[in-house]
Amino acid sequence: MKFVTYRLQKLIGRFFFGLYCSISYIFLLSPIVVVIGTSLNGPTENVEASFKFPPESLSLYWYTQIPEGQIDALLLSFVLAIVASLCACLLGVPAALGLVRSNVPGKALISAIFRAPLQIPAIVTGIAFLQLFYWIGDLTGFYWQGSLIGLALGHIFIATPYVVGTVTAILQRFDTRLEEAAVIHGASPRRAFFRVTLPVIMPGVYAGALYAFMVSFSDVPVAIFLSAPGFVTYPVEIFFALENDFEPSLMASATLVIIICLLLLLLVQKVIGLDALLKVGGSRGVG
Amino acid sequence: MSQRVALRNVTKRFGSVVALKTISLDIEEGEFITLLGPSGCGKTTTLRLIAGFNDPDQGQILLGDQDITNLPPQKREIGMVFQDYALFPHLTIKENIAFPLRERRTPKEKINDRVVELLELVRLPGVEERYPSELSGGQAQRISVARAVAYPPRVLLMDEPLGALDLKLREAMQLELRRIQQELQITTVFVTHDQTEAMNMSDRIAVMRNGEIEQVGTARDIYNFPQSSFVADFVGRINLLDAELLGESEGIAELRILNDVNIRAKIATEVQSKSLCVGIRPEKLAIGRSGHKDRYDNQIPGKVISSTFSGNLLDIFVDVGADKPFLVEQRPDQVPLEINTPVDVCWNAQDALVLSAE
Repeated sequence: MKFVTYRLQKLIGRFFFGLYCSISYIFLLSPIVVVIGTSLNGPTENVEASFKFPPESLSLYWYTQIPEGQIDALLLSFVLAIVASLCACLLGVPAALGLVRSNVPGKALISAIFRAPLQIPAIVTGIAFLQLFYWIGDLTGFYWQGSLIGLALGHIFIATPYVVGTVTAILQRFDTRLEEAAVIHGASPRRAFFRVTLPVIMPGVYAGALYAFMVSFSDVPVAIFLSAPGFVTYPVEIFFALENDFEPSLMASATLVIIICLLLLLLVQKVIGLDALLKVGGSRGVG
Repeated sequence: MSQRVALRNVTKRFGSVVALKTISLDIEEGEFITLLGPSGCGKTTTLRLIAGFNDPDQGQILLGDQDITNLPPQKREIGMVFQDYALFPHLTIKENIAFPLRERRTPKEKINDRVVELLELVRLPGVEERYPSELSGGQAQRISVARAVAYPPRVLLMDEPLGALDLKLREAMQLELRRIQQELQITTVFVTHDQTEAMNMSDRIAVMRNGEIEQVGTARDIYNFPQSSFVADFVGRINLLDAELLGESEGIAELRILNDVNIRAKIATEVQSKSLCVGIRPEKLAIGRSGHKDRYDNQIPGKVISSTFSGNLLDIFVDVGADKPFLVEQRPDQVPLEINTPVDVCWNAQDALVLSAE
């Protein structure tokens, strides 16, 4: 009898565990499902009726109605996110190295400065950059708002802390004896960095770059100040579209972005391995 | 390629902590020397100074006839085996072993041949394409040795390389490392806190303590003729008793121990210290029933406290009125003595050592 009750307990336990997991999945996936579902509505007499979920008729009609401005904005957002995440790595990796390895006085302060962009509300960052660019423009005659440089600067600012964070985490677990082993066996310190340290901390760099990419790609509050007519990032474009002409083509374009992002993640998984990204610091996870 | 190493009056401080107090040491070409001592004695610091990871505050380090004190590590042509192997996790075994060769711009074909040759040397052929995480501790250790000797080093350094292995594997690897060292005739500096390991492998042992070298010699020298009670106690097991010198003649000292017992002991090494102690190895002690007069030079009465059986030995602890019980090693086939049995602990003057006390 005891045996049976034990089996029963295990079954009940498994049931509740399964239920819990299902609820979590539903919670996380339902917005995406609703967006994709709504985008598949066919054309209707009045636009409101096209926002039905589940869709009343299946059609790709609204995909043909995506305004060209949104496609341009999407391209700009991709370019911007790539530039911002690359630059965030170029800034963040050396910063993390310095913060972990060196014993400069005021290390806590420096580390706080590198974290600061996370603590400033993005909308304040946006205003601050706009103000800065006006000031620079008044001085030099070159106004950076509404340019790729201006947007990139703003996004590098908000994205760099993520790279610093992930790379710091992996560096703190890095065994410095690996560098000593490289140096004693003939590598100059520079070679040791590029042949040993950098490859071993690469999962942290990738993870930071991915965060940086997503931060830049989904940012509205900074970009809204630094965009210019005809030069608008995708989230800002969507934001305006929601305000001005809200129609189901928005859902279609959002679905496209979801699919593109999934494909990108698959590519990352194929090339780097998502495990390496998720467990930053697994120095053995590479290869 | 193998060369001699010399440390000349080397001093090293870390902040206000003196890690090495002016040590000098000559290591012969092809010699296997072990730096032995408790943690914090300076043995690893010494190794790191030879490697060039730290710079000495004073003194010189010579490799062959070259002064390498100010040479960066990558130019010293040294091989090193690390405590946790420090294999590069992102490189295959082949790439790990080839690392020192590639850094010295060895041609590709030569590297391939050399890797095969080295894997045979460490008796682990066929693992070229694996990654370090796929190896067991013992295997990783062999690869670590192969990497260290890949580009024939002028000296091989090993920092407690066997610490992470279990006992059986450790013993097997001791023989392996010694075989490889002999085969390559390579000058080797080995660091350990394990005296058995040191005695099994080394040509000579340097016993270190508090940043100084206490004694350098062969395993036999150090075990039989320790120059201080610290060395006697650290290498092997020994019973130590504070002693007062009464007189000496022909290398035999008359001493008083435990306030009222007079004994005789051999003066093996020059003793300068004022306070003395006498040391007797447990295997040199005999045990007899109380009152039983024997052919030994010295005997003191005591009571059995405990005995432990360890397979090849029977350890008997006897309370003789000293701070610590006396340890007597007996053959395991002897009839065990009851606790509290009054006994006499006996030894010959030849087998007792007069040592300077702490």
